[in-house]
Amino acid sequence: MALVLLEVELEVDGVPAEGFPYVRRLSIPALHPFLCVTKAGEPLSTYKTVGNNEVEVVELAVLHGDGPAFYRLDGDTSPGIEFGEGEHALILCDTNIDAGAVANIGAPGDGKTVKINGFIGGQPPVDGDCLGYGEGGYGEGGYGCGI
Amino acid sequence: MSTVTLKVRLSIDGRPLAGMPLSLSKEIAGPLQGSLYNLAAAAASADIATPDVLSHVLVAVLPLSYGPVSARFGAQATGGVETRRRGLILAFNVAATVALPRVANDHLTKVSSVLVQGAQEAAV
Repeated sequence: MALVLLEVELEVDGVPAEGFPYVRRLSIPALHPFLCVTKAGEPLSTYKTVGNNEVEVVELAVLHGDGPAFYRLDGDTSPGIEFGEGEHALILCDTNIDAGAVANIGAPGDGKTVKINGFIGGQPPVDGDCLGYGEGGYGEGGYGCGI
Repeated sequence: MSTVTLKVRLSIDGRPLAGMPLSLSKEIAGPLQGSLYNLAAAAASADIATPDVLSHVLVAVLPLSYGPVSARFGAQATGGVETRRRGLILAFNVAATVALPRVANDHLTKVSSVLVQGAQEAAV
């Protein structure tokens, strides 16, 4: 069990938005870094599953990408949340995403390679490794990325 | 035109994690727009669309009382991200065409309040 501190600041012209800064301390049984790359030229329908080998119930996710991508969450079968050109981020805190497919990340399908990294934490599978976080940071192709 | 800035810090047992802090910024057309939705208990569990953040590049969903509350984005027809009280769903640099979130109260007996905020992208 790890004590995780998440601090999120959201400001418009230097003025904090309502509800921010958002600060939460959570006890997370498993927290896993990952790196996922959606490759240039892959069809738009290509999705990579992230995290579901390590986390069965997602309670925390901090995802950061450097280009367009689609995210499916909680068993979503639609194209998912679409992110545009440039950097993007998806922050989920104190969530209860319990579908088998934790987060599917889709290729942009426009010839670009997009790198997505971050952390996913929550309840591990019953027979899974409980504490997967290490000092080394990300490892390409690992953590369920399926590349 | 305004600039919206997101900064995220994540640490474990007091140690910052690799890649943190994460800092992103984007030009937006105007102020952050927010609406408070009081969702009836979940007997019907209907989605409530949040038109105030339609076509926005930034979406933040903050349950303020009770919960769990679910949020669906875009064309999502099943499932949804379920948060507990004081949870957070924040999507930064969403493609505007699918940003419209819908929220639903999953609490069986209590009204839940959800603050949904969004910002429109500045014209290029």
